[in-house]
Amino acid sequence: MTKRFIRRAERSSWAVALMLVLMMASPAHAVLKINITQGNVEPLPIAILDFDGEGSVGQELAQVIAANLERSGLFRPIDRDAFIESKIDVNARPRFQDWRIVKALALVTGRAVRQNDGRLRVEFRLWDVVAQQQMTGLQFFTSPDNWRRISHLISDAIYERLTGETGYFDTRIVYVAESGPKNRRVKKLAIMDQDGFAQSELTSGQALALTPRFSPTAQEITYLSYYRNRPRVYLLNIETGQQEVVGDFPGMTFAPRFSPDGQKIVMSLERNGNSNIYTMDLRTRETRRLTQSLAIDTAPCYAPGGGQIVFESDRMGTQQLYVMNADGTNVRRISRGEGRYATPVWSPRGDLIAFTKTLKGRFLIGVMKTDGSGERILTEGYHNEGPAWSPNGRVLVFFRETEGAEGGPSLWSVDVTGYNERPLNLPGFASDPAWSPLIR
Amino acid sequence: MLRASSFTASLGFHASLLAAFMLFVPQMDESPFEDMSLPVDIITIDEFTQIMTGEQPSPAEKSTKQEAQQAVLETAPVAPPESAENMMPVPNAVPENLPEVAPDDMPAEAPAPQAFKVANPMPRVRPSPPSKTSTFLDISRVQQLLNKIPEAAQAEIAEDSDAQTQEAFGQLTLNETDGFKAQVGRCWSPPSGARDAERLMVKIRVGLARDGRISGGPLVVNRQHLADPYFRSAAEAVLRAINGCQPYEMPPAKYRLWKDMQLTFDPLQMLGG
Repeated sequence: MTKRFIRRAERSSWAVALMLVLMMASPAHAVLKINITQGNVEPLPIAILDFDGEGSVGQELAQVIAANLERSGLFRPIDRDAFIESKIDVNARPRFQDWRIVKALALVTGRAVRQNDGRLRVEFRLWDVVAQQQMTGLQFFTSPDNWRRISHLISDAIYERLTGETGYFDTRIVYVAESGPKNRRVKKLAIMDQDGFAQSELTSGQALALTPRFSPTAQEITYLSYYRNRPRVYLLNIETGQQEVVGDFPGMTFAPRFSPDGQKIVMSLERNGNSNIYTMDLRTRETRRLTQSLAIDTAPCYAPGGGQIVFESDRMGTQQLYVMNADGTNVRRISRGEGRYATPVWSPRGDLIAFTKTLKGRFLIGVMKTDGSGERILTEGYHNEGPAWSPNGRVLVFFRETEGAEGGPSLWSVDVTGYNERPLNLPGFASDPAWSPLIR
Repeated sequence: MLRASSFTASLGFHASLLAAFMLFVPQMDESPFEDMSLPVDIITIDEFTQIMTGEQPSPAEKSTKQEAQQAVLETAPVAPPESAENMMPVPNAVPENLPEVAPDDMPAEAPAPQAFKVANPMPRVRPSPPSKTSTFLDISRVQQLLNKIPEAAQAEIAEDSDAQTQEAFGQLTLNETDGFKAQVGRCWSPPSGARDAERLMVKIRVGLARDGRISGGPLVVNRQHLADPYFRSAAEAVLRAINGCQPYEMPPAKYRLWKDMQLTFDPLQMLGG
């Protein structure tokens, strides 16, 4: 019995071995492996059709969406004169070949219709022209005069689907509108949509208003003003217009910044020639001192997780950037280059810290990784100052001056890659921008 | 008796185990230098001088001609050909002093790489008695060449030589792979501002038909990251590039080499500053 088994085992094992050897001997199917390391970073060509519907709202929606996407530097809306078909029903499948011809890689179709109840219904579809598939499609209901917000929401949806990044178009920018002669400037808080539309003033200008800072969780800002020659911090709700006094802080030069949960503010206060960093709980008004140095520690900013704070200090001789835990422990220097570093701002994405740097009379704005490595300068300009991040950490808004007696500050924006530097065209001078979170 | 047969059984099992191991264990052939190979030719000083004075073709052509020459010596002593570029890929024929072929007689798909246009050496060494005329010389073919056969037939000849091509040329030249990379790279726009953008490497498997159009896929190989919106956007940019930039111009005689590709799109060099 055992002998027979062994013989069978012999035979079958030989058979298996032979089979495997034969399989090996047959010519292998070779897959050619190629590494591609050089591409061509270019804005994505996208065709945005006027939305179907009565009146001009369809065209206006498309125009605002196209302007948003173009301004980001990541998209290139195709000139409508080149369109082969100019009207596609939002529920129909486009003739993708027509769009390949005009070299569009993405296509947006939509419709805006007034409902019986008076509301406006806006729907859109984003198409992948090469893959010939829908990428996303949404519909919104709103009051007819709110169509601009819908176009920003649609722009965000398109941006997110194509870049993988959260959008930033449904946001507002608060800044200081300056007017009057250089030695007696009137400074008022003003607000606008991120695309420059709907500019309006928030304060009267009777008292100076400086360095507005947005809450990351609500449509609220802190800003610095003066009351009877003393620096006073206000908390202003953008939507209601209500404002309250946070406190009087002698020696304060920048308004405080919010913690990520919106419950605390962090600020620097000057006492007896040195300046240290404090937090204050907005509900209890309890303050806590975080740094103990005899130097000037200022311009603190929370990391988006709330666990760390970056700030500027000259404790080692020159102005450099430091990071510490939110309770003040584990202070370590992160800036490494030459020059004086100031006004650090932690990206809402968490991966970078933006800063201003002065070096040999030059004014630079740059970013570095949170450990100080990978420092990159994004822009250079006269008195470049005050960088503020968009809520998705992709764009920085800042201000710079034009030289001379008639000169003044104006707002600019630049992409985190250093590209797409452009002015925000505002009537009059503007400084100290702050970027709101997404409005939702 | 028992010991002998158990020995053979054991031997059989070990053999099958070894064969299975070699067959099924993932190939560790991911050489980073695969497409960085440099063709090296060793030439004599005389040849070098002749090249510099323009009398002879460059070493790249020379190497393939040398192979052809080797074959010639085995079959019939014929004078070496003048220039590789002028030779038609002819199976079973030896390179002779063919008259210079006018440019419009060249096969339609005839871009620069001269290598594959050289007549193929014999696939295997066939021992034959050295004699003036060879049984391998296909007189009718040579006569056709002399009479300048039309393009269609030339293409057919090129196709027939496929099998021998692969044996003779185991890989694409640096020019050919660079040409493909440039064609795809032209359309590839990786997401440059994404978080850790330089690490968004995308691997694609794609099949191409003879006309350079996509016949299979493209398929994302490292799919496990697709849940990450940055990776998804990077992968979609790659798919747009591959789909959008076809048809690809590739050497038709080497089709078997490039019909199935795995492409790695790595933005590290571009974006990792």
